[in-house]
Amino acid sequence: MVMDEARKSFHKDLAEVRQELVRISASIVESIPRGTHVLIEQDLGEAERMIFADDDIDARTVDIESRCIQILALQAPVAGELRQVVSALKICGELERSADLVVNICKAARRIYGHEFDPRLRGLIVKMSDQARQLFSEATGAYSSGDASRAAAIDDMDSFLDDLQRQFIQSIFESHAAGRIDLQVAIQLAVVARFYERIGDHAVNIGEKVRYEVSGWLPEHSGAERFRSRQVAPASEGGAS
Amino acid sequence: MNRTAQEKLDDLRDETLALGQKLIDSIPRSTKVLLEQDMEGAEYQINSDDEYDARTISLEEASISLMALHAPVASELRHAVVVMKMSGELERSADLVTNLCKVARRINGHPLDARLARLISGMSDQAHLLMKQVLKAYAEKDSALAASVSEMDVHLDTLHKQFIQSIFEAHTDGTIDLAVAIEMAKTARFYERVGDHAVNIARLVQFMVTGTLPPAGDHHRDGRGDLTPIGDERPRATP
Repeated sequence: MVMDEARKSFHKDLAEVRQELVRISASIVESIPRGTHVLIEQDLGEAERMIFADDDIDARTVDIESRCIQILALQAPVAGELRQVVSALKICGELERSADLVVNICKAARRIYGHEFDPRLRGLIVKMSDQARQLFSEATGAYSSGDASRAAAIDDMDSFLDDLQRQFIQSIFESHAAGRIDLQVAIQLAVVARFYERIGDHAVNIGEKVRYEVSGWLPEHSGAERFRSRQVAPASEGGAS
Repeated sequence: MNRTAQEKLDDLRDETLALGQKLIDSIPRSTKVLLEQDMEGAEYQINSDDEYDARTISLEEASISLMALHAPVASELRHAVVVMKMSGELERSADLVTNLCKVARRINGHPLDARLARLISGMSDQAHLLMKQVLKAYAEKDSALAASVSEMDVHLDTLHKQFIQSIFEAHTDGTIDLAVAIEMAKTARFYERVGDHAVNIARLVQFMVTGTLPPAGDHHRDGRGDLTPIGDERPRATP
């Protein structure tokens, strides 16, 4: 009976960790268009609110990390349950970094305050933002429902964001050459494009964690794959898969 | 934990330190590639990053399987968790160092002026020092040394800001065009982010030694992800 109670509370703990991560992730989904609004409308008040709000996300991800480690220590989970805790630990870091990137967009908005940029650049920023938001929303949904196939689709969506980023950089060059934006704004915007791109990368990473959690699938980074294809596979410590 | 498990944990530590050392060595080497536009050196680093990725993934798998098979507790559990998380930090840091070599390829044929080169060396030295210190803190389980890494990172952020200023000046002087200026701005961020990863590792080391997770995030210091100043922070009229 005692064992049953312990198992019950263990499952409750796992469920709560997931719910809290989903809540944090959903708040990041919602913050992406807000950060873009700050950048495009140069809304400094909102920029400040968003920069402050990030402290809360930092604190919450640390709580979840501590909680995961406690679960490991007290429950010593194995197999699928261990994978759930490992995924949660890793997703914490992805969420924390993603929230930082949204904050970075707000900080960039502060730095280009008072400088206008042309409608084509604004249009591409909105497109990148929509795409990053959609990727993150898919990652959140896939994690919330433990849906590996939905998670696997995120990678394909990300290549569209990478294309948009390249178009955007090209447009920055054209706008700068035409004298519509000065160098400082050009560089800030180029860096902003990378922020959206990296939010997309984090969504892809979250998708990978979902696939790992559900099926034990491990993301063979393309580089690692290339290396292994050139080598006799190194002896690895099996067991977790 | 039994003896086998302890030996496995020791192996994980050795591999973490070996990967850490490779990363430390690659920082000045890749900076040299960038400054001297050494295309062969660039290729070497870019190719060896594949092996690095494979090893960090193996390390991560091994740390998870240790937890699964041996259910470590207390300081040993913390150590296993730290290795699992550190493998990711090392992998991304190596990617950033590799990015420096990719920049070297893209700006090949555009020499950098002496001031930019000097600041790049400065950022590289600082990033190198941060990684060295934090790996030493890990090896020696020294949480005070780990804590000092966050403070040292502030200096890297300052260098980063000076560098951005110099990019604008170099552009104004006509020594670099916009494409090179953007590559340089990215380069500065690569060093800065290596520093951020060192700070993340420092936080893990502190957790490993003390059992308490220091707060994540960066708002106690002005820096991470920042790209200030753009010369003039005051609102200005549209040109």
